[in-house]
Amino acid sequence: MSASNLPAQPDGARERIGVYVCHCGSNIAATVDVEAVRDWSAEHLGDRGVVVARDYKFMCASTGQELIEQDIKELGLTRVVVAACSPHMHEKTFRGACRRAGLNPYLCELVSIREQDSWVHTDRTAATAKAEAIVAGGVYRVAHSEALEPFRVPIDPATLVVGGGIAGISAALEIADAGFPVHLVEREPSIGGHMAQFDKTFPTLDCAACILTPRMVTAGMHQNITLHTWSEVTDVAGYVGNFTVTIKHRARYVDTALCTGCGICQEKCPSKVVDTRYEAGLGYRKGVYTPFPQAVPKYPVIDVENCIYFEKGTCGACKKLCPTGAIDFDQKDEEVTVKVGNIIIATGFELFDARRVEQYGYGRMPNVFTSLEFERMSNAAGPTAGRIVLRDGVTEPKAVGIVHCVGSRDRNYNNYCSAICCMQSLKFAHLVREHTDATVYEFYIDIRAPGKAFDEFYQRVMEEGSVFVRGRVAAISDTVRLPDEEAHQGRLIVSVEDTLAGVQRRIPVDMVILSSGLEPATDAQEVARRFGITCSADGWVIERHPKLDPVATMTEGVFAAGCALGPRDIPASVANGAAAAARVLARIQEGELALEPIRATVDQERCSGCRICNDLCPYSAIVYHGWEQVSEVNPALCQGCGVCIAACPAGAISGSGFSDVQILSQIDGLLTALGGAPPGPAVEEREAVPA
Amino acid sequence: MPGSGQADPPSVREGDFLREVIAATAGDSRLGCCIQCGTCGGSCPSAADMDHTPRMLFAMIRAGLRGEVLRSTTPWMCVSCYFCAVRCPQEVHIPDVMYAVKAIATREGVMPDSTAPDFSRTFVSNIHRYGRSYEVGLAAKHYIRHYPLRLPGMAPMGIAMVTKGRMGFAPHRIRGVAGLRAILARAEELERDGATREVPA
Amino acid sequence: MSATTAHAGAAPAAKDGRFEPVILAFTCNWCSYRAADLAGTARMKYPPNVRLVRLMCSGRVDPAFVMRAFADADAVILTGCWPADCHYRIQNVKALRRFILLRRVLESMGIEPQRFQRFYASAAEGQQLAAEFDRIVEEVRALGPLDWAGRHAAFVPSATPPGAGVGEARAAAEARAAAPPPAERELAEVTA
Repeated sequence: MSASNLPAQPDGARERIGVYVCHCGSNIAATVDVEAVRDWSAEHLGDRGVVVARDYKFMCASTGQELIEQDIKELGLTRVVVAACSPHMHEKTFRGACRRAGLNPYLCELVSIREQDSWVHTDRTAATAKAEAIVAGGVYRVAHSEALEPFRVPIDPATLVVGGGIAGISAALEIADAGFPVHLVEREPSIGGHMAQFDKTFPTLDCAACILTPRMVTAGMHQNITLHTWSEVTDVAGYVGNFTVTIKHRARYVDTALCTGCGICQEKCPSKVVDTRYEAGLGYRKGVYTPFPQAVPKYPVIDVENCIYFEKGTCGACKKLCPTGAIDFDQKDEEVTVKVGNIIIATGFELFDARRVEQYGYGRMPNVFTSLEFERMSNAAGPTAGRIVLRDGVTEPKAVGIVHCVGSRDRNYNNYCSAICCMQSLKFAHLVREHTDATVYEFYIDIRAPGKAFDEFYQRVMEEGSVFVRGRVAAISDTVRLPDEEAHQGRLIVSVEDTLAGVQRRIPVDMVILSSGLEPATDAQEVARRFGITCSADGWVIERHPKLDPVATMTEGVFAAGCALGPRDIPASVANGAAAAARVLARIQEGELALEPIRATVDQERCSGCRICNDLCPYSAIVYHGWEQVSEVNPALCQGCGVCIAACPAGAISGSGFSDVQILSQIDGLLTALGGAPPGPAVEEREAVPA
Repeated sequence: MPGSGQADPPSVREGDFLREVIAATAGDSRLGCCIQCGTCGGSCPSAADMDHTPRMLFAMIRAGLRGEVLRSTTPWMCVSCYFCAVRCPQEVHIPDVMYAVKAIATREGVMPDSTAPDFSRTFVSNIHRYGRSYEVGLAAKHYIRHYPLRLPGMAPMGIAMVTKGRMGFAPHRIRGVAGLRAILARAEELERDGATREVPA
Repeated sequence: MSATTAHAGAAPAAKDGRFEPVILAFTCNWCSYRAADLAGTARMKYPPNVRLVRLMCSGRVDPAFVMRAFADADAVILTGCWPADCHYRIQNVKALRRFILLRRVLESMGIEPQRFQRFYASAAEGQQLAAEFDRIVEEVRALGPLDWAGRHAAFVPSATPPGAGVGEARAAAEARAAAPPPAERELAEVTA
């Protein structure tokens, strides 16, 4: 490279800036005249230091990146502006290209003319003018960018996994097997989640307990896993690599050091309670209980709301009869604090409350069941020992209707498809046919069976003789209306349009199973807030990128897995758990993480010690040195929001990456040549004047 | 009758009729969002008397079967109970679409081979006269005009309803019929001007 | 400026002689900018009059940025996360406080409140963001150009003796206390 090859340096410009305008195929070029933006930049931004402007079909392709690298080396560029997609998409890509060419990555500015321009506008002239303004903003801004180094934080090797369902268990085991400590927090007395309630799993019909229980036991006994069951996370402080998490252990009233899990307390407890959680209201448990026999850990808990001792001060049968004296009525809730480097949220789902669809009569007509009730009923270890019977507990149904899309795909409840209900309903049909001679009707809008071996299972259920009626059930009634229905007095009538025949049908059945959709846990928003992540309007955790980063969240160090992200089946939840674990393990192995160096700093020469900034910081990152009467920002705690910068009356605080002069310059660029500020000296003057 | 050979002219493009019905429906019909689930047809108390279920009528509208749709009895059998609208998972404004189809059919004089449109006319004329429905008059007039021989068979039910107070023998007139008539006249005037959709809510 | 290439920064092509305002919108990195990303990804449409500045947090907005923007723009929009959903916990509430103060100052300078607006948009609310942009562009279009320079040229110090306006000022303050503008009610709610 020789100096003679370089274009003449424009007068007054200190930087040598390259502008690269991306077509993104036709994504940008269809709405924005990319060549015009290139030419305009070369022509009008020369006095701001632009020495080269190019366009390219796909800037993010390796050839596009090489174009930038080559120019940095050959033209001696000191700044780069790429006009392409959102910085959330490819900022890292182009910064990487600059770094490879020896330019500090923070001297590269990616401005969006796709999400913020070509995709949201239709008028080509206006969109092109806007793209030029956006490029000008980037060029003006980048001239004032500073070379920065990523902020490196050490990663604590321990991980917090919130939720002990199959997704959380999978994540915990992967990390623990790799040799790193895991804290697994579960709200219920046992890990296992919803999968522990199921009998069979679609489409292979594996016994859920047979495949889940060994994993639960492994998790429970793993030397690297600390179980916190009957517990909740109450506070999260710190940041990626260095979270301090407070976990509340609710009092079990059972001393786990002494308890052997013999079960005598449960056997002798006189208080019998309908188990609305694990048995979905179909069965009973005791006042002192483990939710199911294979519970991990094996220690029971006392349900104080249904314990005679806690209600009346009498009884105490469990305490008297416990062979190891493990019952302790004086136990109190405890809070423990753990240090972790990363967090995986696997808080799962809750079943849609079928009572809300009043015309289906759940809760009003006894023989209308929810999917979870049927799961328990079909489970050999469940309340009916696997017999499919009506609510009376003895009568076998002669006809069973299975209703799809209850609370899903419905603008009155949830807009989304709950993804698992079709397959679950097919499984129910198979189980009913296996256990009884009943006629099974599947009432569906569409059968969605896209997974591995799913459609084959659908074929199998058809071959087994289940009747498929294409039509969403309008209502379920227990009153006969038409003369020819007299014989069906006492049964349930399913009203539906058979949409393939184009006729209204009223089909008598004995039992209805409502395939209820999945909803986020009721406190999902609260949990999200506690961990600093965001949920969609539906309440599911939002991924960092729905396709390319599906288990990360917007918050560094916080990942998500399983149904917390949205409805999904068991294999997907397991894969999510392992994926989140892999992301965490990569960080742990790295030992430290490079964070965006967007931080505030106080110029102590200018600080007047007014302390206005001190109280504005929600992270207590600003400390006040009383003896010197100045404030200082702790860069490890600072998150870079910039509120203190905007508030400082002395202009003593500056923010790397988003400094006043950068932002004001960008505004100059965006609004340039509106007849207002002439380009050029305005910013330089301002720079010299104390704020 | 559907498929009776009176095919639409080839110039009618698919989608044109859908757009026409959507434009003729007051407010946002959401007709394009129908997923053909059949909740409407399953819920409809009159479905058995319709030649097509509402869902099927919507599929026909989309398919551009203009003549068949306008000659269908479906909208004329709709009793505006709104069961379908309440339950529709896509919030399609089904009864409003039925009114729109009836309005187009009335305007063009394309009617199903049925007494239903005449029933509707009698009903509306009662509203104009009394400000509310007059069941005895409606039933009597309809049966005399169309099924005089069946009238004696219906009499016992009518008498039972009158004696049990389920139906008034004499018409009840609302207060301020003149005001209602003025409103209806204005509505008709607006519809004639094609300005129905611009009326502020 | 060639006829084929519109000038950057120039008002979007005016059609039918319609006034096309230039509007600057400050967005935060976590919610409202991502809402704008989503609006793009989902190909929702809003008028090209709005240009975005991405900051880390709406609380980063220095009043100086807004004043600079008004030198050339017809309106300024401040957007950020919903209260209690802020990526930085509560910093968007600080932005709201600043907004209220600044709007009062701007009002006293004769800038209509429609020219300085704010709204929330979560990362999932691309649709709402586009709808708000639509609304604000129409409102500002109805107001016409800001003409900051012109207004200043026309500004003549009041000839009324000092103190003459106190009565009106007090009445205005009392009216505001009796029925606080929406933003102030909101602040009271989120900080309650």
